[in-house]
Amino acid sequence: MRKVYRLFKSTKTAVVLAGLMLPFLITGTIIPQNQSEAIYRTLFGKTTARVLQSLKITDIYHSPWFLAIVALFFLNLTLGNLESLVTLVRALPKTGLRRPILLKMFTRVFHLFFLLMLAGFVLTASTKIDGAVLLKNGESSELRGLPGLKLKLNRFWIDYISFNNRIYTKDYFSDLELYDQGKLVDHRVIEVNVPLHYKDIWIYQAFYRQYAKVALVQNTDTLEVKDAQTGTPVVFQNISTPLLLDEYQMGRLFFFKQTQVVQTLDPTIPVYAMGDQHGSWRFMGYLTPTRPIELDDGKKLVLIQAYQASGFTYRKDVGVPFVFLGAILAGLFMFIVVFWRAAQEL
Amino acid sequence: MDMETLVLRLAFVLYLFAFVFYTLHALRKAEARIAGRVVLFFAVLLQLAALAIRWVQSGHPPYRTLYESLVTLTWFIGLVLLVFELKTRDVRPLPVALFLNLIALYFTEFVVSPEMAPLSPALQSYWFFIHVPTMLLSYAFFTLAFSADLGQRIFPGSDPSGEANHARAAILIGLPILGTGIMMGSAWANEAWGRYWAWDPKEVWSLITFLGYMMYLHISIHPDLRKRWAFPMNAVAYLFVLLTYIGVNYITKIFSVESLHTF
Repeated sequence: MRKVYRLFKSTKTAVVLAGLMLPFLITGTIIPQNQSEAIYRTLFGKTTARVLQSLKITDIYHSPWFLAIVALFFLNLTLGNLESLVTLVRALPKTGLRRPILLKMFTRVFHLFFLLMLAGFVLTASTKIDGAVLLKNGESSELRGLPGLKLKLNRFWIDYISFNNRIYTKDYFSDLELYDQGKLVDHRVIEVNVPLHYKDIWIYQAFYRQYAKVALVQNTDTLEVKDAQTGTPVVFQNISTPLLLDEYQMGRLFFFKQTQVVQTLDPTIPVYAMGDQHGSWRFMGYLTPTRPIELDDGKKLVLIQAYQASGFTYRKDVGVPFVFLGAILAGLFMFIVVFWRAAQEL
Repeated sequence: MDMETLVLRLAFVLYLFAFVFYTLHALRKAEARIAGRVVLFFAVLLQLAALAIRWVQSGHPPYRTLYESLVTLTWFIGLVLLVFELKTRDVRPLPVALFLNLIALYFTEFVVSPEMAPLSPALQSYWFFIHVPTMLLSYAFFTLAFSADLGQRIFPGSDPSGEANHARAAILIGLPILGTGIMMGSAWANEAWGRYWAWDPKEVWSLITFLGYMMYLHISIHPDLRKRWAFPMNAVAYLFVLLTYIGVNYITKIFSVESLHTF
């Protein structure tokens, strides 16, 4: 029994356990994780999809197999290093605090700091509260999981930058108000990488959506519209009044049979057209509420209204300080130890 | 041809000469080490000039695209090799590492698009300035480690510093740098998206690389394991580096896995 225990806490076992983790880690990067059943059926077929799901390969990093190896790895790390550290400390009166002894102690200590990170991971997994909200200008929403908190978007806007005669997005901004129990507790403009922080809650500028009310004006014709992202065809017969393509998310492609593809991206960015499915994009003009675009066959594309919605993620996670404190301390001691060793070995 | 391309091509030619000189010296066919050292020094200097030009023109540090990061990585490799050679006088890793550098530079010249663009909103963070070069620096040390092991096998018996384990020393330096780089990326993700670890393929592959080199270091402690497994583990871990750095782009495309890190 003693022999088994000694083998389990050895560095050789640590190497084997790390090696066992690798196939799981790699698998998770080649099989899409946490997707819907329909996606797995499309990708792998019904039977394989069922096998993958029943073996938890579709959520491999939370599968019992992977978690068991991780648990054994950390147990090996704890036992091996704690015992060695205790032995080193007990022998200190005999050995004295000489450099080689200190080096050995630091080696054990930096390994043990990984446990602080593990504590952070466990806290995150067990207590984290997070979510996402999508707000249009002037809208507000409660934050699910955080009772009493309400987020209001006053205004969302995008700044652009010109570089080598092309337009790029510079940043996304949201003018936000945060209410706690109905009382305004924060009012600020956030952007990507600059979140709002209130108590132990963080609110992030995470994504945005653009919408447009686009009218296609033409006389009498049959129009087949195809959403290029979903491929869903929609046929309109005998159009005599302006056709309102309401609330279409901008950035999608509309394929007009035998005429052109029109891509509506943003009111400040031009509309492009294509003569046929394999042709190249052609600039058609800037679509703004006051300036319609004449298409090749006499149709007119009119932008009735364009508006955006700002997407926020929020998070409350008490595990974060543990993870980063553990990482900083482990890293610091690791640097001391390895540079010491590398200096000896170079 | 613009100034940056011209300077970079000159650096490429100098790296080629350095490769030839160091190979000749490693083969004991010529006393070409000093010539190799001088040429390598100027190659590193010229490449630094190319990076500076790019930085000024683009307005951000040159590691936003695959092209830019390859140029920065190859510069780090050149710099690490120069310091290593000056310190240890062991030239055996240099022909291997310089050969890898030449392949990478060839890619930047003829395969990868050098198009410039401003930083996207997600990249406009001080973490971008330190996270990316930290990762690239660790890759430079791992290139040295792989080249040291392979060079030892190609050019046996020409180590003036005895039987020092240069591969292990380079990994001892590279691994904590990689760990720091991963931690910085994690802190950045926490600040930008509110999650320090999201099992993104790039994150996972960086962890795989970390575990690979961790396994190498623990194998190298045991004399019996070291003899048999140290070099294969070093080679496998270096393969992980390549997959983390370049391969993830293709893995995510081939297997339709989403990633925030693809170029």
